[in-house]
Amino acid sequence: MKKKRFLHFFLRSAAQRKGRNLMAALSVMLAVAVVTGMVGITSGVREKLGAELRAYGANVLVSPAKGGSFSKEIISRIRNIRGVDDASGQYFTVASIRGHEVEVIGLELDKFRKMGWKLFGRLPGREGEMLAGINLKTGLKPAEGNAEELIHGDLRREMILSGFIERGGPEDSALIMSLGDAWAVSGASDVIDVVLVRVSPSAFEEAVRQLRVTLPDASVKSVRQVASAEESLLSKIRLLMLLVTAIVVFASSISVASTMAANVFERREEIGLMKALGAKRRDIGAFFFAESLLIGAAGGFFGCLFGVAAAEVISMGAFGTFIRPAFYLPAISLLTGLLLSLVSGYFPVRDAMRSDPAVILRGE
Amino acid sequence: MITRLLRKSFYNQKKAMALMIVSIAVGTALTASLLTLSFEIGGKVSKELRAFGANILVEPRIEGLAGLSGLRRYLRSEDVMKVKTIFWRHNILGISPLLETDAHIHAGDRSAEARLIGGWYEKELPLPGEAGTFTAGIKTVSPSWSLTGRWPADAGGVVLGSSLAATLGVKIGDELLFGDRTKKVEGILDTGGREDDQAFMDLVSLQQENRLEGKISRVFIGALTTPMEEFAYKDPAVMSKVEYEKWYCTGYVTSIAKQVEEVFGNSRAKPVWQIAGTEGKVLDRLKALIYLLCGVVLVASSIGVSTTMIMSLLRRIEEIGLLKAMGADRGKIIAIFLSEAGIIGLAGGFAGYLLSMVVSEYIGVRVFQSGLQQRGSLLFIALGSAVFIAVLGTVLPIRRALRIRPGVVLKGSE
Repeated sequence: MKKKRFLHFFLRSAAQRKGRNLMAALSVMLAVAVVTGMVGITSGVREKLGAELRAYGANVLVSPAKGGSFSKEIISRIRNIRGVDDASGQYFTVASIRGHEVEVIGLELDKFRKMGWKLFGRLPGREGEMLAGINLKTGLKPAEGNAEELIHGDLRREMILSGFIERGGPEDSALIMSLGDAWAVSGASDVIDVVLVRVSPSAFEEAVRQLRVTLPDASVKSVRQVASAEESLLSKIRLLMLLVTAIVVFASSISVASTMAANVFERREEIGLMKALGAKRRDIGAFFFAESLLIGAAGGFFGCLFGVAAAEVISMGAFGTFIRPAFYLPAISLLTGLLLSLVSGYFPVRDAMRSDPAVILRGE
Repeated sequence: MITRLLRKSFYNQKKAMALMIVSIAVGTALTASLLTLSFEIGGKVSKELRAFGANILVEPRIEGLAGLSGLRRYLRSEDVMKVKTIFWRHNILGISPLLETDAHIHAGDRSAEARLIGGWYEKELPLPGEAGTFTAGIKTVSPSWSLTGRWPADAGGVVLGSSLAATLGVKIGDELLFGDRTKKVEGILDTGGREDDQAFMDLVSLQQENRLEGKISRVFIGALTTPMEEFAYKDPAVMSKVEYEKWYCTGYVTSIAKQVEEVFGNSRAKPVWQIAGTEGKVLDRLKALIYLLCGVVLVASSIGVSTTMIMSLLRRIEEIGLLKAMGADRGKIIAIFLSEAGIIGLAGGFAGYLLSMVVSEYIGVRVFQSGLQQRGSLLFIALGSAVFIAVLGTVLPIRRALRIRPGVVLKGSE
């Protein structure tokens, strides 16, 4: 068959069968949309849940390997390492309050909200204010808002109590204040005892290795509890999503297969006529191949759009934020569309070509 | 008449009908599996989240500042297992009582000051007031801590945190001097936290050595909890009677902590907020995700069924034309299509329900290492939604069928 005639045939057929082809393309589109949506959500869920799990706290602790302390510059050095989401320094000292010695923790108060500690009262808003652990409440009552004198060696410093914190840990018996205030209490300056690092779970090993290389004098420890629990939970959820995706793909390919099969079945007469008129198997094959290609491409394209939209709706509903669609999603959509329409078109066409044109044309 | 037509129609289109039933079955199975999953994902994920550590800490109640320094206060060992008698006892998955002391450790020419902590690792204890035992200990609240070697059973053995062992330059099998007592290192504990600088030994032995029989410093508890709601954050002291009752009888981390506090003499039980607060959020998100997936699957499978139905109709245009020519009225045609859809829906729904038992069991075992509880009531939901999907799928075909003009169709020009 000449190219021109082939094209003529093809276009006429496509125009005449608008409805049926549209139907087939729709079913491909639906399948592609579902696959794209599931893949989109699966790839996004890790990042979204990871962000929630961040509240479980630091998953890496960096402390001086041979005692002593760091200078505060180390925090910005750690933040610049790839895979590190966040880093914040803490400084520990002791001071005596009303004649009793208590632990003093200096930390970056702007990170407080993210730490998930419970706050009664308000955060220190300016220099010279502090929080106290909930265990100190009965002892300091009714001093909330009043000045307390902290004594460290010969140093004395007045601090105003702005609230209490409850964490469920040793911090509940300590005084919490900004790094600057803690340094002022103890007379130190710009030193850090420990850096709490939050490494994104996907880049965990590499980032920890980088930290060790960059900071040879520091002991870099992964907080086993957080790191391994996080990894285990995320991989479970991912497995769950993958299983569901697999079943959904199966379900939607059945619908595509049945639609394509019906589409071809109706045209056994057409195929018979083509054969009777002397078309070769290759020509008929090329004809249906081109048709499937068109249906698959159209279904894949629109399926991608709908799939991404569905993924965004789900992400918005479940996590309250949009996901960034993976760059490979359009490729996956198009491939799925083409593959589905070609594979599900192949078998019925093969059957139709095998049958005897005379029998079909007689209408049996 | 209709029965014969139906029988004929199913017999003549075995393949198409089977395909439709399969596609409905798969859609229903998926929806039913996701529903089964959504009932239990809270519990399953809650259990997974326990790996992040204890969510309740019990400490001696401290009055004034005096408790912070000098005078040590303790909880009583005998109260520990009373935790398994509270209203929410079945939600308590882990209990780890600890006694803290300070020790001066010598290893050859090296020495260190460290916390020496008495605790259980994995200890079977009889349940109070019930038959059976409960396993308590560090392992039950912090399963991800890694212990090399073994936990000592008597006063002669000790476990060192990994940093402490490195500082002292000792390994498993070496002997150390704790004050004037000799102890053998039986295990190394690696946690990545402050425990790496501490030493551990058997709880009862440490109590005896320090003349602190029956005394413990703190207890960590891992409990399955209901995610906190807005109202649960209210101070129980200012709740109305109704609110207080609802709060007390719901498994919020705060109400379980309150009940734990009540069984420990002179104690304060606090949620470990970092753990407790995050858990609720993560669970809510996962549940929302599953429900949304359910919706998407339902929509997708109903559209799929609808296209299959329409395709099946297109094959039978002549048949319907003949029926009409022979005098079938609108009602008859609708009845035929609807009863076909009904049969397909029932068959698909039933098969889907059976399939969902397999699928959800598989998902449960693969993902959470334990099966999901199957609910018989899901059968009705499965049948209902399958029939609904099938009938919905026939709306377009029926409209199409009613428009068929027998003359045109039978002449073969459509």
